[in-house]
Amino acid sequence: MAKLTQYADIIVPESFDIADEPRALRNMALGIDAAWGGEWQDFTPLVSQGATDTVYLTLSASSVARVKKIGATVYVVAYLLVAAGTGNTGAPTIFLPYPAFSVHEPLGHLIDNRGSATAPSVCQYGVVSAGTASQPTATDRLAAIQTNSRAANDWFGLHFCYETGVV
Amino acid sequence: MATTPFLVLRYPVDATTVASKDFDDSVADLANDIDAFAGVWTSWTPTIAQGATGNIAKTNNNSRSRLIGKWCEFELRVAITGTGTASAAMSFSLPHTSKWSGPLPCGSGMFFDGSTSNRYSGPLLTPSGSSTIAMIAMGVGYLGAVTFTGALATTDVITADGFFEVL
Repeated sequence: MAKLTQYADIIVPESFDIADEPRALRNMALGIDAAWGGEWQDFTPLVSQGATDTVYLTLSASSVARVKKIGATVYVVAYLLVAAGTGNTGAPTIFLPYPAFSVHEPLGHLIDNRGSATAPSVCQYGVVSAGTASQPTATDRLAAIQTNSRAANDWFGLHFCYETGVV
Repeated sequence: MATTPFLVLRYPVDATTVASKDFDDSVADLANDIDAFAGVWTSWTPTIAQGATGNIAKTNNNSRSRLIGKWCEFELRVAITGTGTASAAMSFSLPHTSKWSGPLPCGSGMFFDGSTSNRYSGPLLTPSGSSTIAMIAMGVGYLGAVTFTGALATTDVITADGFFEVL
């Protein structure tokens, strides 16, 4: 909860039909959130590799994982640097800070890089949606692009803006 | 609780119906007030570089950005009129300094090579150690140094959009 150090003097009459003016309502929400909420925050990323989603890659302390949530809109920017792999193969599973509204929703760009911590090396990217091969209806996770076993200095780049089912 | 009004939104108490002009005007006022508060789009002039050649001449076609709290959104479109350095990564300056050094994704970009009419697109990254510029990532490096290795030249176009957390 953001500390309230200022407030907006918003007076909306009872006759204001917000259902007919979604832009005004959206902008009002943005204005209020900009003042009182929606701050960027750290989140704890989880990346598993293997069929059971129980063995997790060890991520480096140099990783950056930030999330900003305004109502049902979630912004995610992350650089998840692998410090140690699991020895498993199959596309790693990356867990979202908030579940997506649906498995069909495009979340944003995923960058899946192997071999260099500091620059694109064996790099693939694409627009991804929630769901994995083993759990295609899961909205709280997605599959990485490359299926190789991961090792130190591999990394994932996340740049998402999506709708969550959690408001 | 603070007692000094921070934001005053114009909205008349006599607005009664959607059909009335008063209502439309007042909703427009409301939206404009909140836009002004929450982050208006403003013109932005990026600096284009390629390798050792900085501030390459260009025509800036409505590159814009907006800032809502610590969230910056940007849109870039420039037509190159100068010359860069071949076989070196191309980059553009961000409208604000990123909170985090790269590599960190911040959007997506496209480069149009005017000499061949080929288009190259990829995710944008702030490169390793930098928080002020972005580059278009390819599979094994950054555009300009790999995939397309020519020098930026007249008739080339760079477009990009994205968002990031500002310092």
